[in-house]
Amino acid sequence: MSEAVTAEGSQTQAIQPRERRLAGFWRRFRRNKLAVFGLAIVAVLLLTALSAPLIAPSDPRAQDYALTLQPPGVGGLMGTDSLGSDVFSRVIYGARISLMSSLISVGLALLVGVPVGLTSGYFRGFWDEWIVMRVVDSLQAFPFLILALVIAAVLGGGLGYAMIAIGIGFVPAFVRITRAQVLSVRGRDYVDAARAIGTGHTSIMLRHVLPNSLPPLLVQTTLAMGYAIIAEATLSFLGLGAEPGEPSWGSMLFQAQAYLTSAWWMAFFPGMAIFFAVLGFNLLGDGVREALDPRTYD
Amino acid sequence: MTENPNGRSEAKNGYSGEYLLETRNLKMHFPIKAGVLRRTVGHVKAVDGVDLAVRKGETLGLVGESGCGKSTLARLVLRLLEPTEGEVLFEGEDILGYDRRRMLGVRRNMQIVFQDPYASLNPRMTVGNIVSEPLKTHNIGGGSASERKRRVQELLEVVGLNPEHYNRYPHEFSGGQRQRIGVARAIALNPRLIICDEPVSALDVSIQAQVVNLLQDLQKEFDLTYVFIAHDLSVVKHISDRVAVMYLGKIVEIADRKALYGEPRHPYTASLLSAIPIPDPRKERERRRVVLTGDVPSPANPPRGCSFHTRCPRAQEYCKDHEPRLEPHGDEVGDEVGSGGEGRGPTEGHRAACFFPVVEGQRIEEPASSTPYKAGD
Repeated sequence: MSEAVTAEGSQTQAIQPRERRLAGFWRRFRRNKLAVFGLAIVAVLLLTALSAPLIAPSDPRAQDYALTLQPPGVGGLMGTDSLGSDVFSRVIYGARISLMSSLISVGLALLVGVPVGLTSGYFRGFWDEWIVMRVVDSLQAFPFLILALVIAAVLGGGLGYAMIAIGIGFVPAFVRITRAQVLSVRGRDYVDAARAIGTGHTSIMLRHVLPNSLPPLLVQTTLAMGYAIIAEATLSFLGLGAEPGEPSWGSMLFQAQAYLTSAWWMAFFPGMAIFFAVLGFNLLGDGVREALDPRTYD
Repeated sequence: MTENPNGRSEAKNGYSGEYLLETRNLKMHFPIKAGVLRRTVGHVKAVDGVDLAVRKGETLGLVGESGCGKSTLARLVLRLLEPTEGEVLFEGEDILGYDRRRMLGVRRNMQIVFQDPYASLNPRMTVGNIVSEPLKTHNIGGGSASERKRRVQELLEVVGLNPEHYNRYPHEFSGGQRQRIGVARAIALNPRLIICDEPVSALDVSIQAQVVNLLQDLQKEFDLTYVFIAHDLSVVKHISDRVAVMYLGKIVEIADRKALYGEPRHPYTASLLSAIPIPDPRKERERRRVVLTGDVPSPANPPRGCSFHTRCPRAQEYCKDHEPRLEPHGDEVGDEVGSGGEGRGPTEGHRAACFFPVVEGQRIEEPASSTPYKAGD
């Protein structure tokens, strides 16, 4: 009985300081109006993607050859495209593809980049300096989009491969950021204290080094999400991402190319969607960076 | 004496049982790498041949300017750095060859308190987690979480903290309190030796006294041996039994506290001591200070001969070409030179590495004779 009480008591106590820390973060974040705007955009994007079937008036893949190239207002909120599909529905569903592909590609980059950067920065030595960093250098020698393009082309078309290609393209940046942070953290006294105690390497990395390396990674993750949306759109636009019929913002733009002068709405709405999605993630990322900046700590 | 944790006989390796910790010719030369190929173009000789012996139960003070290698020495002893050369003996056994498992046994007996109470505690761990980390790693203090918690709260109480603050984060404490947390972590395993790496230099003067007193109380209570590193001579004088002075990676003088503060032999020690203000305006006005000119030479390129000759007020031609060894310099009556001094331990008595040692009553600036001093030879 008393055992349970103390356990519970300690738990509620443990949450308090962390909550206070989060509250401080939120207070600093809220001061930045642009960041709040970015958060709002990302929230809207997320909601749209989650509830796309509820919002979209029609099936984004449905084609109606009787109603092609209808201007906004006449053929639905955003008009219809050259195949008679409802542009509004396609933009709504496009949020799903964009968000999913950026989540998967950034997730992949985190999954590969963070462990590699963590171990390589922690152990240093030949492996770090001559293998990992040189591979990263070579990958970074290519412009990001070219790299993703080549990988996607080699792997073959399709959205799944495009996500993998984008993910691989992000890996070098994540390795670098993690490693740089780890290099600065591993020299701190509390890491030496843990080593003096005899704590094992794995435990030191997971309990001491990684948690204290997170802030810049969080920022990078947010910014990469925005960039992944552009990358997915670009690959789809070039025909290496989503299949032409799929409601992806990138392939919609590709499809709209031929009608730029006659049906502006085909390009305008997916373009605006990309613009706002990327803007949202960038503003959010900047806001997170500012709120995490140690100089603004209280 | 207590038994060696490994159950080994203590007589092995010529171990008399008197010294808990010894270093023999310990060197740490950090390579300087340059160029695309990262070739080694030189070495920073942070620690350059240190012989030191720490007796059981004593406090050995270690003083020297910033950058002289004090902290590197501390990290070498704890094997946080692997030395370039030399031996570290803990209870008579060279621990440098130990594998991870055997090293764990040594770590249990040897802990460290760091200088910066802000950098030495993980900001993302609660005080409870910080202090219980050694217990978890070594699997002691009870298996269950509640037993461990009780032990941690006990430790917090021992170092003068409120055990209720178990779940707080380091940033919620003041510098002095944080240092107490660091001390609690260090004593959690009941170690025999604690290396205090400038434990009070980052604290306010009033807090310094509290932490020094805490360390002294703990020493009595738990029979601890300290290596107390500092650059504050008065703090070292207060806490130490013996004091070693370091300059450019070498020990230049070592003696009992009284002998070192009363009759410094090495001109470096003498000039350091002459910089201590006297809290009596009349005496303070008459105090003669020896102001050293120039900066400490770079440890990447230490001077030839005696490493202190570039700044030494007594330096002679001889010092530029010859390197002095740490040799016995008797106190007053010459008690330990020649007769008793030789038979005793490797770093026993009053030793200094100087050809022209300061003699009581003499001005530091001028040596008595131009014949270099050599003992024993």
